[in-house]
Amino acid sequence: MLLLILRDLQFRRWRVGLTVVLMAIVMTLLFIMTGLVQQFNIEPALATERAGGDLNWVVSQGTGGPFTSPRPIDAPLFDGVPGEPVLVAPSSVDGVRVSLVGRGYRPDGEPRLTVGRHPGGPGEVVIDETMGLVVGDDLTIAGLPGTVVGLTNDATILAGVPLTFVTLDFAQETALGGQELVLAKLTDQTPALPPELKLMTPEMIAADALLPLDGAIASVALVRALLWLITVIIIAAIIYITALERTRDFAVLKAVGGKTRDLGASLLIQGLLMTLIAVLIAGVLQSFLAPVFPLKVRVPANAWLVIGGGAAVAAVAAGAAGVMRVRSTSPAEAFG
Amino acid sequence: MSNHLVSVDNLVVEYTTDRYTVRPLDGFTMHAPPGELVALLGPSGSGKTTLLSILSGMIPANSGSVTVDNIDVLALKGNQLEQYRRKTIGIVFQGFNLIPSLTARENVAAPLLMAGIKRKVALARADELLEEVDLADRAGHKPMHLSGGQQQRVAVARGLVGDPMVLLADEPTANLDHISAESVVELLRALRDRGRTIVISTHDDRLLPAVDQVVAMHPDHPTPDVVLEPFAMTPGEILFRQSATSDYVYAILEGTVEIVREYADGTSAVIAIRETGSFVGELGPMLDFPRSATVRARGTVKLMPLTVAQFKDGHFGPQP
Repeated sequence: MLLLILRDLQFRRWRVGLTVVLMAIVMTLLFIMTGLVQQFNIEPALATERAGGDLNWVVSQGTGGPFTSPRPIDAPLFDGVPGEPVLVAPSSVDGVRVSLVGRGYRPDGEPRLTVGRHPGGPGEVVIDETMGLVVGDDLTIAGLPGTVVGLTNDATILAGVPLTFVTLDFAQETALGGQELVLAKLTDQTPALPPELKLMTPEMIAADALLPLDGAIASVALVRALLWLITVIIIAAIIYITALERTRDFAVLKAVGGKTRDLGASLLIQGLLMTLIAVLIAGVLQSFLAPVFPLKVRVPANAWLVIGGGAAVAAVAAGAAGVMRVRSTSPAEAFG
Repeated sequence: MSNHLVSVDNLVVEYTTDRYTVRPLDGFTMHAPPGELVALLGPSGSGKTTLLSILSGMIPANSGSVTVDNIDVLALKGNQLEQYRRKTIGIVFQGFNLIPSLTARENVAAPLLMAGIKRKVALARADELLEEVDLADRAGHKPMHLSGGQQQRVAVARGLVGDPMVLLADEPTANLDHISAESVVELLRALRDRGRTIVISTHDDRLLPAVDQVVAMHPDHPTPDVVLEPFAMTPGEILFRQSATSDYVYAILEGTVEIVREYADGTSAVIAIRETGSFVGELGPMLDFPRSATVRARGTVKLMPLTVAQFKDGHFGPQP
């Protein structure tokens, strides 16, 4: 049976090859879209962790979230609240939009560094690697000069806006013209708060930072659904067309004693083999294509299972139509 | 127990096509003992392929009995049918019908592979048979690289792979040049000599001297040459019915007849009207086809029966 399957694939190798490549391209896009959705979903939690570790944020009632609607207030209003002051504000580095984080740093604390050291004075900057800068590079933050002293990763927000870490004083100088305002206090406690303040957990902050991306995520999800549809159509079409093309072969094989079950299975196995090869090619292709994307593409390990498994299920479901065709083929058709 | 390897008795097969019923086999009977080469001779549509399909258990019959090697073929179902096709009979299809993706060797082995026989064993058997049909040197070639005669020999080898007692071959010499056709006939005769019963369908009467029994699928119906007198029909009277054997052409001397097509679901429809001065039923007797419709008198009608010769010559008594 395997011999018959392989020989048929070999016989139609150009068409099979073209179909597999087509499926692989669509599946590559599926991998990429899945990686983008994953990045969108995980980015706020990672950014929150880089900015404040697992600490709670005490903010003013008017603040929706530190990364979406920061509302700095006078530092004295936080008097009596335990914790470390932090300022988050929109800014720019060399003309690129960034989210500025000003706070104090411990050598082993957040943000985790991939290279260099934490900021220790005015103009010293730790920035996300996606900016393409290296330690020692000079830059301009909102018109003020600065120098890169360290790099971090996974520190972007709102679909790719890099976090830029500086000291609190320098942040106040660049973002607020030197006003001594702070956005929040980071604390590992759950203190009693006056009515004008509220406490946000890292989860609440991440959830808030995800809200502006709802539309983008829904759009990508729609594209992903369309890609799934195309994948299913390609698989279904190729299996069904194969069944139609081989009607005479199936009639002959039935006429010489072949079982409908075996012939149907051979069609399904062909479809599954082609799908499996397409998934493998797509997996390799996406690893080359993902770095080219401006956004980080974070393909989760289970994407292989979901895309591979989904395509296999589609192949089997689509193959059912082909199998019905085999079933309805009368061996008498072999007589012409 | 019959001493015939193949017995067909009173077989009736009809099917519906384009709403009307066709009966290619109507009370058909034939018998073939072991070791006989039988030719089913007839034109297209005479039921040759239908009979081969029945003998191979591929289509059902309406009535009658079919026995091959003491197996009641019409009673077989499912696995029994698959077994029967694999072991009792071998089939050679018109136009070879080899699987284009497989080599000659693999084509011959395909029925065994489908039956779950180990590849090595199946291919060894295929080699044996290709040797027998003198194609050992072409075993590795795909059908597209074989001549028509070679493809037909591969098809015969495939038909023999289950070592069947009966080989059915549909138009085995069609589309072959005379040299290839001769070698195929020679091969079939050699297989017959080894004790197999071989039933072939053909419309080529040149093969007849080479076979042991000829079964005429479309017996001649000589058109009558007796000249008849004009006669009258009363309203609603039937002149002839659809599917009846054709005999005379009728000239309408007076009155009107309607031509009625009868359908499989029991309904009928008037498809044409013929009036005084025209003819009705002229093609059936000329082509030796059964009547393709029923003809009925609309009112009182006077008709003159004509033999085909009279109709062709145009020399008959009162002109319509």
